[in-house]
Amino acid sequence: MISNQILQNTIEGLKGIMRIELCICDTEGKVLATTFPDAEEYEFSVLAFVESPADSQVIQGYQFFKVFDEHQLEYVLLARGAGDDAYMAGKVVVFQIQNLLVAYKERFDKDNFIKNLLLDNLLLVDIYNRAKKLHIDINVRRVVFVIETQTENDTVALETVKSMFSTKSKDFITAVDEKNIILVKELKTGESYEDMEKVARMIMDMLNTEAMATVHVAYGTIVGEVKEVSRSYKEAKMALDVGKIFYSDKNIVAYNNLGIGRLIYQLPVSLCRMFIKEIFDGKSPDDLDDETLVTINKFFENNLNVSETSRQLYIHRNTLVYRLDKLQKSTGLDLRVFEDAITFKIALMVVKYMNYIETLDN
Amino acid sequence: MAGISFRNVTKVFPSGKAAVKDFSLEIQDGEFLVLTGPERSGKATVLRMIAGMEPISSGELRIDGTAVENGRPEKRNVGMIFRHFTLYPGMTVYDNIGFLMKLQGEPEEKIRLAVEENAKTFKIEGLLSCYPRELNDLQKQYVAMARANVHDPEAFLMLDLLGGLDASARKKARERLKSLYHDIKTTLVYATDDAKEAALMDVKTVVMRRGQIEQVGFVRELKDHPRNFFVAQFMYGSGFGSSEVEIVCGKTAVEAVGNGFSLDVPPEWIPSLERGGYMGKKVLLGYTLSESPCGVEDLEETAPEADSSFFFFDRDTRMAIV
Repeated sequence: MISNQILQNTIEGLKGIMRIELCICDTEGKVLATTFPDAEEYEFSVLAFVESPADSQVIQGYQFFKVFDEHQLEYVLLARGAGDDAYMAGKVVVFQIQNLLVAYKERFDKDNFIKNLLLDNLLLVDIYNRAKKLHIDINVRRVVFVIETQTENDTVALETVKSMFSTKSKDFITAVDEKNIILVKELKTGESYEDMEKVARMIMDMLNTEAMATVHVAYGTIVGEVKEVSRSYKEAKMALDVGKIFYSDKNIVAYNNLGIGRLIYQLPVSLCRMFIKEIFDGKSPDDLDDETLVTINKFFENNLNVSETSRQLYIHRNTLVYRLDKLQKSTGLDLRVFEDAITFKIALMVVKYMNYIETLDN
Repeated sequence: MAGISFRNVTKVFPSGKAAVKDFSLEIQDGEFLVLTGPERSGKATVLRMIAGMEPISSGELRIDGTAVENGRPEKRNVGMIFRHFTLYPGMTVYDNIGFLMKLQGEPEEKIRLAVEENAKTFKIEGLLSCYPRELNDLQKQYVAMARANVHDPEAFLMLDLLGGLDASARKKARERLKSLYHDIKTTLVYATDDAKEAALMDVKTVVMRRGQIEQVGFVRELKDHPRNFFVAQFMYGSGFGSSEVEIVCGKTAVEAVGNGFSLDVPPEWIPSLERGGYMGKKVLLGYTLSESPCGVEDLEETAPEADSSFFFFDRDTRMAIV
């Protein structure tokens, strides 16, 4: 449970204080951390000690100790020396490692609780009981951030996020799959969505610059009770999806700011197909050539202003009018008319949504 | 150090929105360049393309002569620091600077040397054992810069880094940044949407709008010879007014007659106006204002002042009349 790096740091720190060489092995004799070379030579002695009933023993000039975690043998510790000093030093180290095990277990339990909470795997009564046991406040405001990295199991990104929020022990960082890091953030009094947007920006900027990771950040609504945390998580996941479909130029998406994408995302596919058939008469806007699509997007970007669009496309006004007329002939929609323009815009978004659903099906 | 070259680079997001269009720019090896323009003008996208965070849609991007169109960010030796940076709260300054090297499994001695060298460069040696909560905003910035520089990057990208500081801290940070540029001798690209900040940097500046370059030049050049109305308006900000005027040949002088005012056209502008066939026609007059506490809308109602500088722009294309 404890990483070898932590064990190594611990025994190096203790060696610095007590000036005694130390080594930690697992119950199969494998060296996990050591302050002296050639520790592998003691593998057989460790295996023999594991089998013996003794809790401590002097073998080949080393004090051997068993380190238990709730009566289960976890590690064997070796401390150089056969005298009382080595024995006492070894006992101190064993005590330290056992405390580490307890601390890590508590952290693991919290992590497990948060994961199950997010995934709706807990009964309501269990939520309150376990939260109380783990000293997790029930009635504080929280919001869930989902951070999607481009590469799977991006440990640098995960460590960066953990380090960013490490002193705030009331924030939880976990992962329920390989590409998403989840931050359950506790809000201070007076903090609002504006502050959450800043947190999202900070996460993105830090992961961009420090972890060199391209990420998308989404967050749900602020909830007031621990049982609602999973709702905030689901909202954040949905925001991430909706952002990818409709707002691909945005790296940060908030659930409470999804606009029309929120509505389209909820539509049944059969209804979408019917709508597209009605508008495009069986054709797909994907069949439109690039030039036409660029023209349409630019025309929308410029609020249906013909002069500004033609200026930005470096084409004559009449050329733009010709293109719009051509589109009107093929679709029956005149983009210069607000109602037709909005129908077309929604149809384009619906098509994007349908394409996304197709990629999921494949 | 590395030169960065953009040739006709375009970035179109899957939504169809073009963030950067036909962008061509040569950033020399070891150059300090400022990218400026209003919000959503494409500055951040340019930086993110250099860093490898955004793949380019078309065109060519070279770093140190090598085409890097879609190379992964970690393969590019680029240091970045953006406005919303933070320091790791539970770590000392020393650990903050060496954090990434530690994650990458670098030996302790190598980390120590890199951290100490950077702390010296950024003059924060005395802060190495401090925690972020013990630092002021300015010191935090220096630590963040040292952290970004720990890998000895070939290019340094900064996005609106000074925006979060108050005026006096900003001045100090700006001066430190300039002296650092000389110390670390690396290509430095600084992006900001604050034209005043860009002007105070006093280095080669690129003005962007809607993903395109409007003008490249040193600040004096951008202010004295803006290529179009937008550049003039952006560079002068609230110290700029405009009005539609008619160029009239009077008995003794050529006059610009606007709504409620008229003024003699400065003699140096007359040949350009004549050459462009603007005599007797309406043009857009831009003028500097010494002070303007008014909002942008109110500027339309202002009139030139006695010591205003003047610029004339074509009414339709809004390009400077030269």
